[in-house]
Amino acid sequence: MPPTPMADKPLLKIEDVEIAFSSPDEADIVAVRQVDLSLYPGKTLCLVGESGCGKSVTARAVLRLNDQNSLIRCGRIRFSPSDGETVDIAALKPDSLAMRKIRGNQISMIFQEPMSSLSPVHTVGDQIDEMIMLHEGLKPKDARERTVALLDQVGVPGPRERANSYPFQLSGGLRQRAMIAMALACKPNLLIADEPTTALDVTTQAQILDLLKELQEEYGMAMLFITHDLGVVAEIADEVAVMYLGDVVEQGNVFDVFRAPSHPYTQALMRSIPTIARKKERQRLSPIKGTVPSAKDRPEGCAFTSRCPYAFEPCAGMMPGRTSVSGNHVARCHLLTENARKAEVPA
Amino acid sequence: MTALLSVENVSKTFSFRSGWFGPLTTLDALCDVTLSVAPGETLAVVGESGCGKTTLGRSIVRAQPVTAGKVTYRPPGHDPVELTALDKRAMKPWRRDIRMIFQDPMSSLNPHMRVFDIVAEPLRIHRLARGQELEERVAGVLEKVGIPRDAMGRYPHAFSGGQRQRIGIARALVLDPKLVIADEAVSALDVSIQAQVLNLLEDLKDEFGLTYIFISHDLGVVNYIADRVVVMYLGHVVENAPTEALFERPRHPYTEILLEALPIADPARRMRRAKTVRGEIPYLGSRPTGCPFHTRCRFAEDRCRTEKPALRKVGETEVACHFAETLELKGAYGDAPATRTFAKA
Amino acid sequence: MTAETLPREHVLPEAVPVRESQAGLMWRRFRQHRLAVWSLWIVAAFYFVALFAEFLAPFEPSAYNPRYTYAAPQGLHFSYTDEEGSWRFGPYVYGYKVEIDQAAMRRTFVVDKEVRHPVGFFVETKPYHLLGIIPMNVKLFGPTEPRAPLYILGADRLGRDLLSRLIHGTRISLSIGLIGVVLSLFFGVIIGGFSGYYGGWFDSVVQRVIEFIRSLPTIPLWLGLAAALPRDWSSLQIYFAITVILSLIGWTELARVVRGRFLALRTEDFVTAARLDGASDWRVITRHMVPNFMSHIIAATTLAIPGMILAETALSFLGLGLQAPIVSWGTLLQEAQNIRTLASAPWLLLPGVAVVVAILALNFLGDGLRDAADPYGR
Repeated sequence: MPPTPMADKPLLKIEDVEIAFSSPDEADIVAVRQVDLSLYPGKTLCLVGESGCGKSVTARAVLRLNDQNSLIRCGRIRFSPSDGETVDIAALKPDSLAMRKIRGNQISMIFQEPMSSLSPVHTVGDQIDEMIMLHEGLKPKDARERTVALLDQVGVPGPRERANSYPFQLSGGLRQRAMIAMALACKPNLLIADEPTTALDVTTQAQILDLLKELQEEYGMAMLFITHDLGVVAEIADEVAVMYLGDVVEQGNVFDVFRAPSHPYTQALMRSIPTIARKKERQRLSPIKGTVPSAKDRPEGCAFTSRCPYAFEPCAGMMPGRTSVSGNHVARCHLLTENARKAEVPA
Repeated sequence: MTALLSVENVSKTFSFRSGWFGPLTTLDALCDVTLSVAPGETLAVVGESGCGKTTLGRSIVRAQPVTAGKVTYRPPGHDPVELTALDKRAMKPWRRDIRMIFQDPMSSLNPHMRVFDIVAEPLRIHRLARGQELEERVAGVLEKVGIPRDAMGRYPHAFSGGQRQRIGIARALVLDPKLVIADEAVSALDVSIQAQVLNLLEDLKDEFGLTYIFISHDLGVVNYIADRVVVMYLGHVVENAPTEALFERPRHPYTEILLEALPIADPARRMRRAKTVRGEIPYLGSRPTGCPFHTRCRFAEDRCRTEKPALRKVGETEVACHFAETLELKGAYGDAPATRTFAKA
Repeated sequence: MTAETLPREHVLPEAVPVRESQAGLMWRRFRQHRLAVWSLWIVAAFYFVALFAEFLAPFEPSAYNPRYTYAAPQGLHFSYTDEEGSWRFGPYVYGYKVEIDQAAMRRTFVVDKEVRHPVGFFVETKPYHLLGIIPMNVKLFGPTEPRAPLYILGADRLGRDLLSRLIHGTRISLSIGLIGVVLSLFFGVIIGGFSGYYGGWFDSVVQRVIEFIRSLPTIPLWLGLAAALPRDWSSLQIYFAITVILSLIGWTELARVVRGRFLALRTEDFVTAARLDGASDWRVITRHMVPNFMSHIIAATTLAIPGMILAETALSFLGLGLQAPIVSWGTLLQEAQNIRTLASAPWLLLPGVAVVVAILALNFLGDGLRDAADPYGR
């Protein structure tokens, strides 16, 4: 796969964003620090990491959906749709008119548990109809035709009848399909998918991933995909950003990152998933020692210091800069700059 | 080798009425399940939600009675015991040998008890130790799972998910069991923690001479830890084979789609998928006639719709498919390098 | 078994953080509920009064003085300037003078600011028994001159001190709430516990019975039961009979709470784990289930007390509950039943204020406890 042409204008550019959560009786907790991400039209960027790494907070910030007590302390979230002006989402008020126009119109979101975003007292069809009427000003009858076509497209069998079902009458997989249909109703430029397949069985997960890929091709939308599963990343991503305790430790083209993971955390993460291999080739898993510390105890420098087997003197005190590994593949690790310096000395 | 535990023709039907006079609904969670586990073996039971794997585990430990069939335990140096025929009192001594590890580390520990009391409780119930000896045994088993002795006085909420799961393991092992049933024991954990717990389970198995029944939906984990795999679908055993044989050449079409759906953490292997995965698991109450899998099977013929295939031996594998001998199904072991080596950064 | 055989990787490198116990967590959560903390103090004060009623009240509840019928509240004063014009400190009350109300042709007592009766603390009185057991002859406060009137909150029809009667009434009303709730709790926990733990037909029957009892209109039911009490019973027997009647209905709510918690806990993994250890039902219930819903029970109980108090008050007000000479808030309010009395002696409504304050405080306290009961809830 050819590397993403850099000349293209990114649809979404997150620049140096820091998000903090305040609480009444404790100091503010910085959930996400110095995040820089670019997402190009028609591409998929996966945010991957373990629980508490800030992947959801980052994605929700794009729609300004984080809780009241969160604050984007600095940085910009520039959203540049092909048919409109560039807006800095970080500068908008979460409940402003401009933000509401972006939400559900240009950026849609799907969640892990569809029941939480579908209304239990309205039929699936009515909910999608409403979205279409709101965004396209169609009459109810025409809207229903579009709804049926959409449900058909996302692979709901018997779409006309299913449009009259309530969410609880559908299986998990069908519910997720219905939510995808709703997200697509306004033809978004960007789809944010927050662990959309985590609650599903493997066979259903495979179907949903295939469906998302097909729809992406057809609609040409970009996808910001959040998951904890490296298998899913390998399956669906163009670009990947690995997060750990609020930092993006490594990012780049998915093939590059998987072929040559350069941050000790990415490497350790990959070594801790069991590979599908014959017994004689199977290696004992090498887990990461210890557990993820709380964000309060995070060092000033690299967040992974406390668990990193290679940690050395500058790690805890100084945040490593982004070091290019190859092309757009970058990692934040002092080892990379150290090695570079060592390599220069003999030459 | 004689099996340590065998499950013969076990069925479990749940029935409930809506209201006092509503119609009686029945759900067959297990249909005629037969399997056995040899001493020292790790037997994995895999399947998607609603396949009956959890019901099977709970039936073996007698958390609920079975509707039909029998579960026989053969303790070393003792006559076989038919667990399903025992009453509560007679079952109690065997509960020391057969232990369970639960999925959710948050709900499997009593929030009102200190870790020491949680782990000591089985010893107290069976009156196996008291006083100083009790304390030593609890501290010893906690140290084995990596919980320091000075943390014994804490309450469960002070621990992380991975640590709580270790406490759950310690509780299972404190009675020196023979057979441990791990119901999705690592599913709720983050990958790096999951690897810690998997390694721990492997080491403890060698040290204590344990036999595991490992219930899981994650085929990656199963391939790593299991010696043999039982695949379940809608309450039926559809395939039972040594791990390597199953992943190399599955004999049942359902096993094939499970393997194919498994996301592999290697983008280079992404293109191989030939979209054979289709349909969804039918609702348990509306089980298809004939082969339970025929509604989603790409090889289904008329015979499959009417005649239920029995489990039979094909090579090393036991499989319930009419065409098991002739089907050429695709396994999960690719040609890509199976082990990962990275240059040190 | 030695730890040396274990590979180093399994030993947790990091220390486990020290956290407080569950009780500590609950207390901290409770303290965040300011209203509930205040209510706790108020409720504590009420029960303190109830406990030491004989010591706190200056007179016996039945001590009457026909000279001072419907005497107006004197209030309590602490400082005055004496004849020489110097400032004096010391508690006292004003005396009364009789005026003839010409229109009604009736004697009324008005406070006479010319006369001062000093009030003393820890004054000696005739011997009595605190809580019916501890012999004492000292009261917290009382008139230092014998036969001087002391009606801080006024007097009733027979010239009895309202304050003393209110203090003694507090004991009866609050204890009826408490004893009634304890009885309800006994029935509720046992019946609800069986219902929830074993389920099945017993559960169904119990639920239908509860629904039936709750569908009965309570006031007529109480009236019927109370009217059926034999007339010749002593006041103590009546008192217990009334608590039993109240708890006959009160247990249903608590039984539902207990059953609900049992049903929820029965499927918890740690309960299953204990059963799979071979633990007896008794052990599972007492060690694993009860501690986990104790806090809910305490909250539900606190919320049930006000209902009991109100029910007793209502019954006694209607004359069907406690009878004189027992003094409760309900029997005190009975005095304030007709409009003429109210017009001339509005202070007789003061027991109503006590009822409102006590009920509100108990409700707020119950709310706070309920929120704190589940420290991991949010």
